[in-house]
Order: sequence, then C-alpha cells, then structure tokens
Amino acid sequence: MSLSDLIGNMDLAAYPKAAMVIFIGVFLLILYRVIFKMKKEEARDAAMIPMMDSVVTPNTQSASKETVA
Amino acid sequence: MEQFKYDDDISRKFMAATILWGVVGMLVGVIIAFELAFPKISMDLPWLSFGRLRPLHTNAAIFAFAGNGFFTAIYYSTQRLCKTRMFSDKLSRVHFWGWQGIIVSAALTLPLGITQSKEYAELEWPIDIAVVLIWVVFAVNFIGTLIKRRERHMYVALWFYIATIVTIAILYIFNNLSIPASATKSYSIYAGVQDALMQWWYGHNAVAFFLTTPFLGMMYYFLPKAAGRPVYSYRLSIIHFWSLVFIYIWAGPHHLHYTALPMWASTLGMVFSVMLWMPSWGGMINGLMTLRGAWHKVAADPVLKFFVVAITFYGMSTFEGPLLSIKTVNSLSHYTDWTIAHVHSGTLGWNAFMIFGMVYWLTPRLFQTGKMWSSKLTEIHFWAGTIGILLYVISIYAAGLTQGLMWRAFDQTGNLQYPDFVETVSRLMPFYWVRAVGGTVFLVATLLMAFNVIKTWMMRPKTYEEPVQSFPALAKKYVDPKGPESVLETNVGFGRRLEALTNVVWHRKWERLPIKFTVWVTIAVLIGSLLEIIPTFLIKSNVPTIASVQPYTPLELAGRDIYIAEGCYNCHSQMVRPLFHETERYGEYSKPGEFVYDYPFQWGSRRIGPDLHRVGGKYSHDWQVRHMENPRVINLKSVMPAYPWLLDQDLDFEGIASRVRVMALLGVPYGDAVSNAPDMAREQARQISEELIAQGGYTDLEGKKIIALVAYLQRLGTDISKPAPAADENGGAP
Repeated sequence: MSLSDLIGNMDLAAYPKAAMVIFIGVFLLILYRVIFKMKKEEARDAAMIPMMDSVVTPNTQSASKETVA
Repeated sequence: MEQFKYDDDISRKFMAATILWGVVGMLVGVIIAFELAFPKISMDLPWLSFGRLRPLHTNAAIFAFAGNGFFTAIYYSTQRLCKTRMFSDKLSRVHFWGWQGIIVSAALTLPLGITQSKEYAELEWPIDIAVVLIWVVFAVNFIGTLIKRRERHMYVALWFYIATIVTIAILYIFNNLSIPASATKSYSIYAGVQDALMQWWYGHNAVAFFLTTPFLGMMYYFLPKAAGRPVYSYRLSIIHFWSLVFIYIWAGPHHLHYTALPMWASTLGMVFSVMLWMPSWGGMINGLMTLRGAWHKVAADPVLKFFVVAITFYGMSTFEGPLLSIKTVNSLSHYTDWTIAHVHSGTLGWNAFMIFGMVYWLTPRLFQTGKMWSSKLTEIHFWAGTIGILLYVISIYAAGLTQGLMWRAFDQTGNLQYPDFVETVSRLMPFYWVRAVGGTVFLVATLLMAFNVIKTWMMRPKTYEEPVQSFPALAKKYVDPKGPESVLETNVGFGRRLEALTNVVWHRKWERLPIKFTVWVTIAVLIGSLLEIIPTFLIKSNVPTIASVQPYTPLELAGRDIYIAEGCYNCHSQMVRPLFHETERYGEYSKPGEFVYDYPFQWGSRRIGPDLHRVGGKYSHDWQVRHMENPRVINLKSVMPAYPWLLDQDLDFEGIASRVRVMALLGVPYGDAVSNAPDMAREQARQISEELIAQGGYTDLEGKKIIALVAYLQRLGTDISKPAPAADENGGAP
C-alpha cells in the first residue's frame, strides 16, 4: 500500500479537525502564559526595550566598530 | 561595558532604494491604470502592453518598494533592539546590492515577456536562484546579529522579522520549483489543481509574510518610538504574533473558491481566513491603543498621522479579507476589481503609509539634520496621499461591485442581461478614469516626499557623527529567575517536566533563544502548509482523470508559452465556475481533470476580459488573428492591447524541442513528439495556415507566432467534449 493510498483512504475531515485541535491547544497555552504566568514587570520591561536602545558614551571613539572597554 | 557603533549607512542605502523603487513602481501602476482607461497609449509596443507591465508593477511595489522599506526598518531597529552592530557589514552590503540587482533584472526581463506567469512569482529561474541566495545572506546576517546581541529578551518586533525570513524562504523555494527549458524559460513542476494550490499558498502568504509580518514588526518598533511611549499591551503582542503566524498560512485556498480545487481545501481556507480576523484586529487595537493619552501628538506630528492612517487601513483590510473569503461573498467578488480595491487599500494604505511614516521619522535622524527640510510639504504629502488612496479604492470598489452584479444579472426572460462581455467593461470607464487620477495624485505625493528627503539630505553635516554606544555584554551563563516552589511534595522526574510544561516556562525561554524560536516558528508554519498540501497531492480522488484530456501538441505548447509571455493571464481567467451565470455565459464548468497537463496553471485571478477556458472553436482562426492584430477592429469598445508583433515575429520551431523534452520529463506522455516536435509543429502550423487562408485570412503567417497562439486558443477547453482516444503503441498521446 502506497502513501498515496494510505492518505487517500483517510477521512479528509480529519485534517482540518487535527489542525484545529493543534491550533486551539497551542493558542490556549500561549494565552495561559501571557495572562497567568507573565509578570507585570516582565511585560513592562520587554515593552520598554525600544525606548532604551541608545546609550551614548561621552568619550566618542573614532576608530573601531566594536570594542570592549 | 562594551562599546560599538550602529551601522546607519546600510539603513540610509535601503531607504534611498525604497523611495526610488517606490516612485518607479507607482509610475508603472499609473501607466497601466491609464492603459485600461485609454488603451492606445501603449502605442502597440510589446514592452508597454498591459500584460507585460502589470507584473512589473506588482513586483516593483512588493519586492522593490515594500521589500526595501522593511529592510530599512529591519537594519535600523534590529541593531537597536539587540544593542549591537549587524553581524557583518559585508553581508549587509551584499544583501543591499544583490537585492537591487534582482530588482533591475526583474525590470529588464518582465517587459521582455520573460515570466513564469505565477502571480508575484513571475521571475524566471536564474533570478529565483539569485533571490534565494541573497535571502540566505540576509538570514545569516540577521540570525548572526541575534546571536551576538546584548539584550537578553528578544523584543516582539524581532519575532515578526524571524517569521518573515523563515516563511518567505519556504514559500519562495517551494512555489518556484521548476525545470529549465532554456536560460529564460522554465516549467513549474506542478500542474493544474496542485499548481493552483501551491501558487495561492505562496501568493496569499506573500501578502502575509512580506507585506504584513515585517510591517507589524515595524509598527511595534517605530510607533512606540514616534509616540514616545511603549506598546499598549506586550501580552497582546505575544498572542497577536502566534495566532497570526499559525492561522495565516492556512488561508491561501480562499483564492480558489468554486474553482476545480477540492471543496474541503477551499472550505478549510475559508474557516482559517475568518479566524484570521481576530489576531489581525488584536494587532490593530494594540497599535492604536499605544497612542492612548498621546492623541494630541497626532494632530501635530505628521509621522503619527501616517502611522494612524496606516494602522486604520490595516484594520479595514483585515476585516475585508475574511469577508471576501466567505464563499458566497467570494462568488460575487472574485475575478472583479473588488479584489484590486482590497489589495490597494492594503498596499497603499497600510504598507506605503507605514513606510512613509518611517521615512519621515528616520530621515532627520539618519541624515542628522534634526528636522525635515519642509514640514509643510510633509503635511501636503499626507493629505494628498490620503485623497489619492480614497479616489483609487472608492472608484474601484464601485467598479468591482458593478462588474460582479452585471456578470450575474438576468433579464425577465431568464437570459443574461449583459451577454456581451464588453458591455460590462465599458460601464467601468468612469471608475477607471477616477482610479487613474487617484493613482496619479498618490504618485505626485510620493514625489513630494522624495523631493523633501533630497532637500533634507542636502542639509546633512559634512561627515556623519557616529555616536559610540555602551552596553554590557550578555553573561555567558544565564540562570532563569526562580519560579514558584513546586506545590507537589514528591515531585520528581516526569512530574517536574509536566509542571514546567503547564507553567509555560518554555515560552519564556524561547523568547531569549533565537535558534529555538526560529525552529518553532518554522514548525508553526509547516503544520498548516503540510496538512493542506499533502492531501491535495496524494489523494487521487482530488483530481479525477478524464480520458479524453490529452497533452497539448508541440505547436499548442509553443502557443501557450506565448500566451504566458504576453501576460494574458493578467486579464483572462481559464476557470468556468459552477455558477449558473457563468455556465450560461461561457459553457460547461471547468473540471479538475482538464488541467493535468497545465504546467503552470493559467486560471488567472481577474477578468478584465472574458474567461477563455471554453473559447476553443468558438471563433474562426481569422477572427482570432484579426482580434489579436487589433481588438478594436472586432469590437470598438474593447480595452485589450493590440499584438501586431505576433503577426511579424517568427516562431522558433526548433526551440520547441527542448520544451517538449522538459514536459516529458515532468511526466507528460508525449511519446514520439519528444523526438520530432519541430516537424509536428510545422505540420500543424501548415494546416492552420491553410484553414486561415480558406477563411479569407492572411496568407503569410505559417511561420509566425500568431499561428501557435491560435492553435492554443482553439484547443482550449475542447478535450472534454471529445471521445476518449485509444492509446498509441508507444504509450504517448495520439
């Protein structure tokens, strides 16, 4: 029996149902994580990342692109 | 502390390319808008004809304008969100120049008729290979930057960029799998129904992962920056991300309702499209709510004005998309200009306005001028752009509805009220003129932006300051913050794992592990793809065989390639839907088994002209020739371009051999035709030419391209009414 025969004999409705179950399962877990398991401070800190992306040092270096001070 | 500098030069380069290609793409769009309203402006030049220029417009708008736009955003924001310079300056430059090279190649080949004919995937195989290589360069540079970052948590914008990079790679490679017949011609490895599913899996997700996810990343970075406040809800952004990525990938089949695609796949596409409304609006709400308490800034700041209108258009488009995916609505809207209006409310309203907002925010920063040359001009751009969009989409919504309703209208005697297709076209002329004016206003507004940016650039300092950034490196070993103590007294082994799963600790870890995160995004995307694609390919009952359907003859195959090169699919569908008004107008509805030799499929997505699937034998050869030479000789109101060059250019009979060989390689039963395709083509051309002369037609066309095209058109949709032939001794087609 080929793979084509095997899948061909399956109920097509099983595919969307399986997909729906996978999606809802993952969705609920993510929902659970952000509602119940994510601390307020954690979300606030993450949201602030774009607001704190530049800290300029007073001593402007002219040469290298990346240095360790 | 580690010190480094951001590479803003690469952002400047991509931003300049965005503006340049934006103007070019919009200009081509305006040209083809005027061609529909006034066809003679193409001056009967092959490279100016609608069918060749429309793919140039869509490719320029998507890959050149939007692509360079989000590359600008990614290079600027990724460095800052990761608090590091890009992984490799060299790779950044290879990406930039490679991408521009690809765009130039597209701009040269598409007007020459070198195309695969798959919408938004028209570029031929050598350019496809270049796209994949450059995309890999981009991916390596991006992932490398994530790995060497100095910020532990990956901000949500980066998640959207990861989804873009991974999914576009998968979509592009699998949809473009083809076998070359020459340096400029290849055949898709998929045919008919399967090819249609692959194409719209790609086509819809190109919208999702090229025009949506990177722009959402852009929104999550630039909107908080411009508004001066963090995103409204970071939690909502996480839900937004995963549900969008998982659901979007399933929605493609809604482009194929009532076609020969199996019903289950079409329904699946519809259900997921309707579900898509929720995450899309979650994103829109998150964007607009970021401005809570800052709405007073919107009135004063044109950057925020652009963003607000963009996000509003995103909301409208993503409400309309699910609406259009509902089968009954789709039966009215599909193939009409309604789809064009929907697409342009997304691309002009959402994509272009996001880019414009970003350009106005970035320009004073990248050129270190502190402000734009003229804030008044920015305001004028905003209002002119908005008016341009409204003129465009309102007129084309009206055109689409008019078209759809006229196609399905019956009179009191039970006959089609508008049996002559051209009646439904000429009724649209006022709308087409308004659309062309709206597009022109939008283009002029964009030119104002280009002028303003150039004038600002001229105010730049002699040398750019490159501030040195100081951030500590990430500790090599990282210990997660301690979670709550287990409440289970004897919790060991499996129990601990189960508890970790239900505590969703894994997601918190993914958010700081770029490779693992990328792998899970890939899995999310693949689940939807494979569960749709595998059954369509493997279940034979999806495409019932029709014994009378035979491969195209060598001459018909050559004619089909001319049909593809001229971009006929841009205006004509080859798919009669099982709807009463369609079977009344065109004939028997199309069956899946009729397309098994269509590499690639030519179902089209739009009917500026009538469907052609049952056109075979409907008109004489002479009618076809004269119609192609000048459509207005046959029908004064026709907006179809003239193709006089097809009556002058010689057909390359010898070149047909390699094309037939590739077809045979793909499994088309050509039998003897593989070894003597040119002779078979010449013989059929002689027969058609004789018939043409007998009909009172031209006498000197036997070796011309038009004969091959006529052969193809006369074959279309006729096999279904023929008796099933007996197989010949070689197992090939009779």
